[in-house]
Amino acid sequence: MADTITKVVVPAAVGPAELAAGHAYVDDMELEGDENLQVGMRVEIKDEAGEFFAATVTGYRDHRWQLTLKP
Amino acid sequence: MPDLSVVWRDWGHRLTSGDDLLQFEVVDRNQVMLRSAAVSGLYRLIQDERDHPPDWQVLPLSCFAVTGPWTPSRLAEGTRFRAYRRVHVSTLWAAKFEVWPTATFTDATADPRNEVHYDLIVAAGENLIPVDELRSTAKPVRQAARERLRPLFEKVWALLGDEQPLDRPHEGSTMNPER
Repeated sequence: MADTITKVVVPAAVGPAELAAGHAYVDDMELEGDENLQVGMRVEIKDEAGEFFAATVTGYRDHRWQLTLKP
Repeated sequence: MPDLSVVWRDWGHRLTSGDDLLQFEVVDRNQVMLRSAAVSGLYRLIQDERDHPPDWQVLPLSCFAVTGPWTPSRLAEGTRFRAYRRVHVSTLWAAKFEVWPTATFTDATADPRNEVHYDLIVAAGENLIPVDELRSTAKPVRQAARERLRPLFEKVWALLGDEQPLDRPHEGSTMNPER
C-alpha cells in the first residue's frame, strides 16, 4: 500500500520583496479554514499567479502567519 | 515577528491624468478580495493622516504606474505573473476612485517597484469588512462574507482593460505538483 503525502496549500502574495526578505505572509481570512496551520509545518504557497513555492510556517501573530520560503 | 507594512509615499512618481495604471492578473479573484481585506489594517496610520474616522476601513488594490522605465515586463520581474490589465487614471478618477501613492515593505525589505506603486482604494467606509465572518471556521459563513465584498470589487474590475500577456520568458515554478 502506497503512502500518500498531501501538503497543505496556502495562498500568499510572493513578489520581489518577499523573495528578497525570504518571507511571505498570509492572514487567517485568506485561508479556507481547514488548513490547521502550525509553526514548523511544511506547506506549499500558491501565489497570485497560480505558481507554487515550498515554504515552512515559522510564526503567527495577530491572525497573520509567517511563511519562510525555501531558498 | 517582522511583518508587512505600508507608508504614504511622498517621493517617486506622481500621477497625472495621462498616466496608465497596471494591475497584474491574479488567477483567483477571491484571493484579490481577501488579500485586500487582510491588509486593510496596515493602512490605519495613513487613514489617520487623511482624517478618516477611527471606525473606517479601506479596501486597497495594489497597482503600478506604467512609465518609460517601468514597462509592464520590468514591473513583472521577480513575479510569476503572465498577464496584466491597464486602466487610464482619468477613468478611475472620473469614477470617483482614489489612488494613493504608497510604498510597501515585507519585513524591512522595500518592494523595488515602490517609486511607481499605488493603491487603488476600492472602497472606504464604516464596518466595510466583515472581519469575524471572513475568519470564521464555518465555510458557508466565510463564503457569504466574501460575497458581500464582491460587488465593491466588480465596480473596479469593470473599468480595467482587456487582459494582456506579459512579453517575457516564463521563469518556471519551483514546485508544481501538477507537472
